[in-house]
Amino acid sequence: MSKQTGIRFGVALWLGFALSSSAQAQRDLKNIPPTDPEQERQALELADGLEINLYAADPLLAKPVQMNFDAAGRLWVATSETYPHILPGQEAKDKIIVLEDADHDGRAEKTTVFADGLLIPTGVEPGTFGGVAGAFVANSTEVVFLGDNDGDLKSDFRSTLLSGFGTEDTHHLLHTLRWGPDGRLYMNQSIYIHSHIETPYGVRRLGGGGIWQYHPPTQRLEIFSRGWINPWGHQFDKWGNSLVTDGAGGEGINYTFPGATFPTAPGAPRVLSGLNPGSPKYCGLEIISGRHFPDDWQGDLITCDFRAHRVVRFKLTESGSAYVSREQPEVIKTSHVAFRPIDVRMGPDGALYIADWYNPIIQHGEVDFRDPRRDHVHGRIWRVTVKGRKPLEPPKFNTEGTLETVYDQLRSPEAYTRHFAKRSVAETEDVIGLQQWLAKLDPKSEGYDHARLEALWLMQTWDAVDDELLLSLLESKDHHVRAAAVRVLGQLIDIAGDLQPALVARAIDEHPQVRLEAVCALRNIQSPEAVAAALTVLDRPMDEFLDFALWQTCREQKDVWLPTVLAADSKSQLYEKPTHLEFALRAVDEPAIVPPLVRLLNDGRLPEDRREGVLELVARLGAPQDLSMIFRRVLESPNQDADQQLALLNALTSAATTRNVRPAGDLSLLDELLEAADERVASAAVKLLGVWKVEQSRGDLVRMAETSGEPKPRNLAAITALADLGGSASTQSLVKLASDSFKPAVRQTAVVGLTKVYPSAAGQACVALLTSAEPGTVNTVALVEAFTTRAPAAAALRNALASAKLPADVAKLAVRTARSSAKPDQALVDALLKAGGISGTGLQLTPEQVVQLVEEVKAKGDAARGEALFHRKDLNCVKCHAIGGAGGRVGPDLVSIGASAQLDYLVDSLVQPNKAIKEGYHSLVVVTDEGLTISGVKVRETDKDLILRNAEDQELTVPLKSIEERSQGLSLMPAGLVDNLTRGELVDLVKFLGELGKVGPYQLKPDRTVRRWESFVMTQQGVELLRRNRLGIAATNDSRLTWEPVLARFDGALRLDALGVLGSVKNKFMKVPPFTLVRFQIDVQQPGPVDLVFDSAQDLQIWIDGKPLEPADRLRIEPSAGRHTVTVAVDREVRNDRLSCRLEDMPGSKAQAVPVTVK
Amino acid sequence: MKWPPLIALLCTLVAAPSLQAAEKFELHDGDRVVFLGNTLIERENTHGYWELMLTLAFPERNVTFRNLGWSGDTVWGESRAGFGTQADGFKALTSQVNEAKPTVIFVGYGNVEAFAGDAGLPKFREGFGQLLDVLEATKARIVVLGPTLQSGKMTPNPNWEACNKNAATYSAAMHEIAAKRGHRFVDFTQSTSQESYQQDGILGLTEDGNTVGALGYLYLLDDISASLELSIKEELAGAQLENEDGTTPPLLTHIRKKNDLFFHRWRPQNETYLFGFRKHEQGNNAKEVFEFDPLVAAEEKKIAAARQEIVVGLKNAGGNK
Repeated sequence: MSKQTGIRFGVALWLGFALSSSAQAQRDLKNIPPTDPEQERQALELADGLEINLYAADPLLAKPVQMNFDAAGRLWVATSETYPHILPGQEAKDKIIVLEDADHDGRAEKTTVFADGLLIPTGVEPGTFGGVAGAFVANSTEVVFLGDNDGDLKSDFRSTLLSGFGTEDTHHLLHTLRWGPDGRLYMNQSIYIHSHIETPYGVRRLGGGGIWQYHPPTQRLEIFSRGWINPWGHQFDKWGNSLVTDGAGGEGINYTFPGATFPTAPGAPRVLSGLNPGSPKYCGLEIISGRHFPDDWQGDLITCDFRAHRVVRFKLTESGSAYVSREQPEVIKTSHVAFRPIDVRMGPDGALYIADWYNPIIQHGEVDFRDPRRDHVHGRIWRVTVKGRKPLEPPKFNTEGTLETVYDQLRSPEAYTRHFAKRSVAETEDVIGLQQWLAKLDPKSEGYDHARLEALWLMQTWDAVDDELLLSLLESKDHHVRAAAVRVLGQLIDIAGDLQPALVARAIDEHPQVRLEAVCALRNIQSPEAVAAALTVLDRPMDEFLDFALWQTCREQKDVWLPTVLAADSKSQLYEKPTHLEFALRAVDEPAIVPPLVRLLNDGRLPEDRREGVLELVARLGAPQDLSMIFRRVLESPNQDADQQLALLNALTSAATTRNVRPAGDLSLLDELLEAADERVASAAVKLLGVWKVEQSRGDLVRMAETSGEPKPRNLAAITALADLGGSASTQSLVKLASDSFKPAVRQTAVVGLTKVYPSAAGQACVALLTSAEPGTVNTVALVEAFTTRAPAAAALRNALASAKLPADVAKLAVRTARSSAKPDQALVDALLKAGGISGTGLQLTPEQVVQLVEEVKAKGDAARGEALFHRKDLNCVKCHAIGGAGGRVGPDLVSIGASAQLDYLVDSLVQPNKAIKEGYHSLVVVTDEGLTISGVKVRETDKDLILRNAEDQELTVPLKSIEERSQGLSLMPAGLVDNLTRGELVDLVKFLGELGKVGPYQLKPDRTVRRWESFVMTQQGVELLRRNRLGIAATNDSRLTWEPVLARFDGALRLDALGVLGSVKNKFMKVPPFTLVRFQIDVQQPGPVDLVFDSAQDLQIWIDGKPLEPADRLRIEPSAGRHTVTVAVDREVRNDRLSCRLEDMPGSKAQAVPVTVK
Repeated sequence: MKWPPLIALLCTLVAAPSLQAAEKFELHDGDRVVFLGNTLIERENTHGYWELMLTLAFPERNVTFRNLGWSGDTVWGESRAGFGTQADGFKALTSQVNEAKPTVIFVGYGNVEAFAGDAGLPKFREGFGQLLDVLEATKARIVVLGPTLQSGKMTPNPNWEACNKNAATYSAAMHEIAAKRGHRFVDFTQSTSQESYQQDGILGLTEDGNTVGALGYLYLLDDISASLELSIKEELAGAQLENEDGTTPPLLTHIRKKNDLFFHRWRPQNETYLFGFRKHEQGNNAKEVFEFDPLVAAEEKKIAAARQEIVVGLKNAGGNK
């Protein structure tokens, strides 16, 4: 290879050399990618109409982490060469540097080291404090103010403002310092951080991710919102609304507001989600504002997909109380692997500045801290401008004398100018001057209310409030202004005048955004009336965000309003609106709320359609006498409403299993339901008899269990109930039922029951069943799982296998099940392998073999073949992993794995899943008080329950009280998944994964192609239903039909060849061609016309929500708001290869619709 | 902000005589002093003034110091819980203290807890007692440091008076419990209620009206010195705080450096990866954390050398008399 091409392709080659020995890696450092900024610049592909130039680069700066401009147009950058971890003996010498472009040519000509000797400073925001200019800096455990008394741009004064921030992970340290329009300094921390900060108002603690809100003049520090993994981007829009990105989350743009809580927040029983589920991970966030950019860019969000070397753009549209966010074509994309955009800011000249961390290695935990490929010395700031448009004249802020000209700048079209106008007078407290300026404004002038809102924020910065101004803005015609004013009032409620009535009125504002803010603001008033006012929001249309905000208000204010409701003969006004009170009580969700719920049920004013839900809630939380009331209702309304009976039976079951509470009185009355017409009701009743341990019913249960016919669900339930009843009589019955005189389904259920009551017999019975049953009649996975989750049963199975032979296929399934259990029992795995006569040594690779394999991947790997493997059903990749949100949620979303992970890491992850586990994907193993071992990835943990996601992508709720032991488990990805691949297949699979997210065919396009489909599964019941009904029943949501997810490939098309074929009947009277049934869902936030664009539709039958449509390649639909199902029957005689569909907007339509990517 | 000459402040520091008649407080050769507590204790780490003065009070003795302060901490060890529960925090506190093998413990709490007011007092008394149980088990001599007050002029909290009243109540409770158990108690509420502290707006006795600033550590040293009847030569103390050219003298420099190194040793960053639930990924690098031990020891040698130099200087000065 010539030297020139060596440079050109050096980056990729060098990365491919993923060596596991550092000595080898050192030798290959000669292959470092070309670090010349100009070469990097040429590799950047810009969106049409944009151009890019280098603003600053190493050696003027190294490793930028966060950047912010100051009012003088200088760029302050926090930099860290120490990251990821200080070396013993190394001086912490990280720096805050200031870049200046005094001659406004778009290039910084001067760098000043403002401060050094810092330890991994992850945030810098310039500002004044106590009259001294300087910067607020996040410095490991503390926030310091570094002051510059003499104006030489070198810090000469240091004050520790806050200390006690956690450092559990250096890429989680306090970061993203950002002045809000309200003069508060917002600061983010990431998921592993636990912070404990003393303030003059008491200690503030935050464990996990979240956003702090800090007001330096008053030293007030509060938690603004919580959650996320790495919330590395935060920006305020023109109206003060907060938008957030997450560098490890997968939901794109997040809309947050006071008290909003997002996934991962410890102890949060309820969370919100982001606006772009299935997005890659983003760092930094800026909003385009100002005349340098064209009109159609204004208000668009810019963030950085640092894993895939892209700078991306989103458009937000208002929708209800929140937004819809849609990705636009990239601002920048490149295949230059060291381009790592991590922060983005609008500059004084209206251009867009991008901090490029410049590093081929970005992982923290997964790649050794001391990996020599980590770059510690480079870094760039890029400047993006619009071709043919002049940069703006940087604004100057004249703070000498009257501040009128600064106030005029509050009306600038550039957010930059408005922001720094406020910042430059942040400590003047010139309330009178500002009021005089306000008085001179022309009420008819454009942006009058926005200008006054800016003034309101400025006063808030000074901790002052002008009641009259505030009151007037609360009545603004512009809902944005009203919403912002409501938030200001909420924050300043203690110092504002008597504006409570004005706030109460906003809870029924005509605009949902205003209502949302009012519901949040009312939390700051400690009175039952405030909660009652917040609840009035229920009288208008609700949405997810409003519902969350109200729920939060009711919970936070619980101690204020609940006692008034609980008082005997309470006259609380909350009883006047039964549905309001029901909402508030539901939000509290604890046993104390049962008496008021019962009162609501009894006084007859609760609407009929609310009663069932309330009954269920009483069953879930009530005491024995409350449960008796529920029990009576179940018995007294037989056959009237099977759904209600079922719901109440389930609630009673849960009360017994999770709380150990049963109705008072004679429980054997439940016997009445054993012959219920509805199979579900009968089964639930039978199971409940076991759970309640109703010994009197044993005879009935035995009779039902010992059915000689094909067992119905209630018969199997009787077997489970017998196991729950326990005792030697149960053991005898189960041993009998497990014998070969019964049907396999009966035997299987009995064996599972035996694992609980008589494990040693269970082992023998299981082996007997597995060896004798006809293929397909026993669910091996479920059966073996019953053993692996109970240690004594596992031992019994091991013993029973000692002299047994199993069919090889059965053994393989059993081995896979045993291996994927919480704590794999190697002896059991070995016993299964031996019994099945199969070899169990999985693929083992030495470091040298990994290198060799990686070489092979680069030379011969075929990503297209790899993609096909990825979708192959028996490999189960799709079952657990999503790509861009479409797919399973058990493992990490792989949308940009190739762009972030090295090939050696990918190989390791496939062969040894436990070697390096992505944050948030460690399994948790819990042992319950019943001796059950459950493992899964923690979804969340409330004060009552632990919610885990198991390897089957199901959420399991484990009551905290039942947990006896809790330990860190391994990855849920079982070892040996790729053992059955040929080497060529493995090479292709790694190649495919390695391409994911890189510029090219395996980067997800931001269009709305349907990527998650569901395919009809031919269960016996489903096939029968189809046979007896029209085909159209498949297009309804009939719960008796089973569907399984299938994913489209990167080219957007679903592969039909792997899908089941139905039909194909032909005689002289009729002909049904072979066909395949698939469906997908769309979520509609804004109703209106939208197009479904099929690759071709002539051979398709299409339904939406069960209604047939006339097929057309471009099919216009007009869905209402909500979720809709589109079902498609494909004639397989005509089409056997592929099917694709995407959503497109109709020009002028307001519709907001997206395909659903997760179940 | 330029500080006033440190030396001026020291006049009050060195002179105050003690009224306590108990057994004289001394640091012995080989003593290991542990500072345990909240933000007040943690930040002494970077200033080093208390450690400096305790060293200078017994310049001929080889005493080593370990600061185990943690911002926001309470007698229950709440700030030390990591991913765990409050009980885990207390366990962590216990093992941190035991690992440091203290012979003397300065334990400072109460600032955070006092916000719970009268209602929280019984629980606090119990917690403080449990903490002392653990500390007493080490057989170390214990000195209890009470909470400081907010500075009325500087604090932005309009309810500061109520906060100070609570802090005084908690301080009195700590005093009572400490006395009952035979431990020395340093009361900061008297000096921090003085006008010089309450009205301080420019010296920086506090950072924010609540947490103690650099000079505040010297200010509070007066109380420590008085309670323990420390005698430090005035000219010596001044000379060891700041050189005439404004630079830092060697002893204090090495103390701060040592504290910095020890901080990396006992509260390393990336703990999750080095020792926590992701140690299978970076646990191989945990060995680096222990490499701070010899660095701390080396710095302590420098501290000893600087101390020796001072002793020699004192003798020479004495000889000249």
